[in-house]
Amino acid sequence: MADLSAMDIYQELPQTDCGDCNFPTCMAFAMQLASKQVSLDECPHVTEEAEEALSASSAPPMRIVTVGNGNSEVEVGGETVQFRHEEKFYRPPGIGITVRDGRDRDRLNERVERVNQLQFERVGEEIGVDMITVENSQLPPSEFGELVAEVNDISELPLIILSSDPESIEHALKEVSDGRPLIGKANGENWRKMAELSEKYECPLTVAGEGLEELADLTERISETGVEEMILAPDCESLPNYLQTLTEIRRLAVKEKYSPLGYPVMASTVSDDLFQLVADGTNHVLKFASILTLDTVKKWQILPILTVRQHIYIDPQVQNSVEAKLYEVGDPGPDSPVLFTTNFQLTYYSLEGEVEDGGFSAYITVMDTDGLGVLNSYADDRLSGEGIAETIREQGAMDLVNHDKIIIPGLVAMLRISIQEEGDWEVLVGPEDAASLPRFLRKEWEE
Amino acid sequence: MQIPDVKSEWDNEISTVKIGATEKEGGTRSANISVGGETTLPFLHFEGSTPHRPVLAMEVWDIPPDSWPPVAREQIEGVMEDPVEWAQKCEEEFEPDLVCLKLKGCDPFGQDKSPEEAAKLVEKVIEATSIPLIVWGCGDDDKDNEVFTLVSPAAAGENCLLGTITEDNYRTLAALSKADGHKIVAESPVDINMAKQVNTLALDIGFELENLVIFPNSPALGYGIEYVYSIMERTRLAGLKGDRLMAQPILANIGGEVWGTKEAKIPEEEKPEWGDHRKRGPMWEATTAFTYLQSGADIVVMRHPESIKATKLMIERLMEGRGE
Repeated sequence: MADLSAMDIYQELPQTDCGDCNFPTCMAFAMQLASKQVSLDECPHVTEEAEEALSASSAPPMRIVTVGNGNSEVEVGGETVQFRHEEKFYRPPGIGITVRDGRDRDRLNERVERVNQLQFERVGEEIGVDMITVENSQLPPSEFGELVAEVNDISELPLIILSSDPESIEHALKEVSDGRPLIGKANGENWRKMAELSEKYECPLTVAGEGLEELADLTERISETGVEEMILAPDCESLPNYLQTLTEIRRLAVKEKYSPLGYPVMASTVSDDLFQLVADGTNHVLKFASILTLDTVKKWQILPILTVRQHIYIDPQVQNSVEAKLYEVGDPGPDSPVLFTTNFQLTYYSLEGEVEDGGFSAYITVMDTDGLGVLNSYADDRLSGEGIAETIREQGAMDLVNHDKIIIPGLVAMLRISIQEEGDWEVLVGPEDAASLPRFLRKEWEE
Repeated sequence: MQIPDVKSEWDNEISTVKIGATEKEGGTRSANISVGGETTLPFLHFEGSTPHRPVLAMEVWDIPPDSWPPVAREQIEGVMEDPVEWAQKCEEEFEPDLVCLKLKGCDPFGQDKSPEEAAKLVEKVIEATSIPLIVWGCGDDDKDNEVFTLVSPAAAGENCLLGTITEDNYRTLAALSKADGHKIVAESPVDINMAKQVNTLALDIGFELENLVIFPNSPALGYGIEYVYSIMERTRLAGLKGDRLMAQPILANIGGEVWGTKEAKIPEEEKPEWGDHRKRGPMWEATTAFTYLQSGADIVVMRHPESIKATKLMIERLMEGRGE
């Protein structure tokens, strides 16, 4: 069935803009439905005929599942494509660090404290781990429950509570169900009890299985008991096995709209080697995990995985920009060159990298072009001698140096004269690509 | 429960590019390597074949690599003054699939080494090593054309991979490669249409696309990697769907990109919140490689032995699923 447009969907809605779906207008709701980000159930006034007309198109191909609540809640799933360039990846995978129940309490507490520290800042954004996975393998149910309560006390992060014994899960839930942890894993043997707990405590449930058939069979049975928020946790023993299984599940969900497997997927690492653990994590983030559990607290392992997640989940349809302002690269002084560019993220960081790499210090004055690169900004009529001169003046780069030279990108060489006239500076035309900048600076600047 | 079959079938195969020539083939390499030939997306062995695993090349420079941070440089302490010894150490100790000799010293705004000197060095490196070779110019179009005019015949018969041709500079290197039996790297600036354009230009002057690899540039993790991740993915999809101009193996040249980033360079003493930089640097390079390998890269050019080792191991693990 072909996907319906927002307009097609809007025609079927009550068009009252009542707001009961939590969207301001029926059109806003229709747009969310069209991109499969909400379910038609959110509208209490939809007619039966409309429901029939829209049902095939309205169901999100992959359910959205929320773990935790309040400030630290993590929403995962709801993905609609296999390749990010087709649309975008919507919800970055939640990353949970594993804590096992076998450790003595002091060491366990120390590990949880270290997990709390795994928050970083990169390119102006906060990135960090989102969850703690508490695994039960040794303690009896009541002691496990106490331990989970203790972890919950010393961390704000939502919990993933894993045990094959439903009794352990129940002891834990009695303590921490307010925090809406993710529980599991339900399997062929314990699924009835696990489903009951999920229902009773209103917590999402992970479902494990060997192979897609077993998984699909289990989710079907569990959904019949009324549990809707599930996470698939396929048993995979190797990296290629994970890649195949997660690829198949993603395709089944988004291309076949195969509802028994239309859930987010949880993956964990399979190698103990320090570098291969990061290889596993990177592969899972790139290829279709919605929750990733990692058994490490080492920053040098966590940071690259978080960075892969941060960048792969950037919306490819939106131009990414950096703040338009004057940047100091290296340790610039009165003799340093002044470079002009636009605020497309890649443009700016390429330029910054080349300046640093070449061992130079420079001022970079960055104009707001809504995140467009130099050539696109020019093609889009956003660059004029006047506008550029105004930016340079406002940001004040020329007040910091003892010369009157400004270097512009080679791609806009045609603006040289007009900038020169507007600004009364000497305008030098730099290279067309950032990579040639060090050579340019050595030749034109240092000589 | 019957699960729908979601295997994808593709119309076209990625071309296979062989690099290096053995004695039988008119060269002196102990073995050649092939890349490409895929009939599916990276490592999806359940629906198609990946006849050749992706390969890794290690950088060797013709001048001491002063711009490399200490963590990358100390691996080649004692040999970095001598590119021949450096290449030898690479092959013997670090076991990459190829050596990538970068002729940085030919840069007219750097040491401005002569084409004769470059050609002599290439001959010596060929003599001192037995694995296939990539030779990479300094990036100055005019100088590179002069340099390759001597370097290409000096390596004739060895079936090297020479780089790069670009939209603005492709005639000389393409003609030389064809005459001397080499392969070429077709470079484009983070733009899929430009990648296609460079291939079209090469084809127009009679260079067979089967002798070329695509290099769409390859920013480091955290510095625009997502653009090229998607460009590689789209290139590979187009190639598999039948676009012959996009059906070539893909190269990522990440060493220079990665080792210029703060994340790879800044010591732990200056940035304790990022952890041990002696591990973080190689990890950053390896993670950049892992990412490109999942979007279609067939050749990755790298710097640090530890990241090469880790990337090689991941490739081996991902290739294990073959034939199951």
